[in-house]
Amino acid sequence: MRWIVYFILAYVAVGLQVGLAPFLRYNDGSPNFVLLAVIFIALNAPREPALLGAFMLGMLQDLMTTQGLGIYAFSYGLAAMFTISTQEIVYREHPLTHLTLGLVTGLITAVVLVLHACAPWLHATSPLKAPFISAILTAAAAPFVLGALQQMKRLFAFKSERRRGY
Amino acid sequence: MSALRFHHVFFLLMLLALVSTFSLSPERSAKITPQIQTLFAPIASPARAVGRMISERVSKSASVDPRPADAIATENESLRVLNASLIVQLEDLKRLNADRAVLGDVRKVSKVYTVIGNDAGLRESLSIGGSSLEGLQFDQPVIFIGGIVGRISQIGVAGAKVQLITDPKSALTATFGRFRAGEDGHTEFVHLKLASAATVLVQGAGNNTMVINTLTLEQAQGIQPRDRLILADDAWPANLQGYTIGEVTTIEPRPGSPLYLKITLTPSAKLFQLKDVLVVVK
Repeated sequence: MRWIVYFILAYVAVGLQVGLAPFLRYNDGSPNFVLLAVIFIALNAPREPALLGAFMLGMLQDLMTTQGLGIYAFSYGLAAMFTISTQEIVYREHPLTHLTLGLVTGLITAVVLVLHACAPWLHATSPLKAPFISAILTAAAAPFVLGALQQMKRLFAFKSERRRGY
Repeated sequence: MSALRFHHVFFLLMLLALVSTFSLSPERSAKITPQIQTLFAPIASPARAVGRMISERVSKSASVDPRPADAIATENESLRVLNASLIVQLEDLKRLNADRAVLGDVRKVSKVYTVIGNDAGLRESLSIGGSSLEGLQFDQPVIFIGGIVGRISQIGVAGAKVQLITDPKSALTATFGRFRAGEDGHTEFVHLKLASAATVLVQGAGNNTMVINTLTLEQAQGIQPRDRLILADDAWPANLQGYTIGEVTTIEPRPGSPLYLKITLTPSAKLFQLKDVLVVVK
């Protein structure tokens, strides 16, 4: 994987998340562009760069939130592990794949966020409904954003380290 | 890196992230998090401008004041006169009490900062283009033309974050007030006296709202939608006391506690969509 292109993607994704996402709010939730970048990387990159790339995207998002350090890094690590496990069995260009992965990884992130919000010793009062609304909005945006990113995947020079599905 | 070694490293990273997530409170995390918001300004600022443009076109806000334009113009004129009179009186008071010289138009002791973006997560905060190098400090109040925005919650050499008053971690005390027509036809602002409560605790509730959960039905008698909530909190600077926090939007029984009310308030604008804010530096 070309790391310089990865960093540009990360920069744009985090920039859009802090700049554009507030205007796409619905009921306190908004689509998560950084998670979509995580899905794209995890769907196409070999296992090791994909896991590392997803974790670093989470860390970057952690730096731009007041929610607590590590929460997105951990969530995206889990999301990447799930997405990588599906690499061989999904048709990675299909919008339904994008929608499903957007929803499942959004729900993984939502569960971590809710567990964090419910931990009484952290006093981290966050809305409990919003992470799930975000998951749905992220899933809705996934076919469009991931569809566009899939058209640009040559730029990333993902090496196929093993036989890929479809 | 061999697969085995990478797995070890990744497992360690995930473990560290997990421990950090569930052991460090957001406040402690904030102290060790480097502030790099301004680095993302080249993408976030244009994206925000596009978002604002689309938002303004899609949701043209309906006029909330049903009065004819003439009545509003008349009222504005009377308010200008009243304002001028109060400024003169305030100047006199300042001369009498030099240590209160900072009182007055708080905008004169504020610096304008552009909003770069919002919280990348689900909390209610703004990233602004200021930094500790420009003299910004932790906990400084932040306002906008329509009232209070929040306080600086994180500050570094490459950015600052403002925790909004609508964030669930925000709390402040305030009193109610209402604009009404006086006997001489002038609009006047009156404080609403609450039974057995001088001030009320207002907490952020997310989604650009705040709530008051501590008032009983009896204490909240007389409070109506569109009443204003103004700051009355000793933890905030003296020159901000009386500043607008928001307007009452709904009053309903508190779920699970029928003797108490849940009063929902909204600021006069969507705080997470503000273009610029003023940081009170004195």
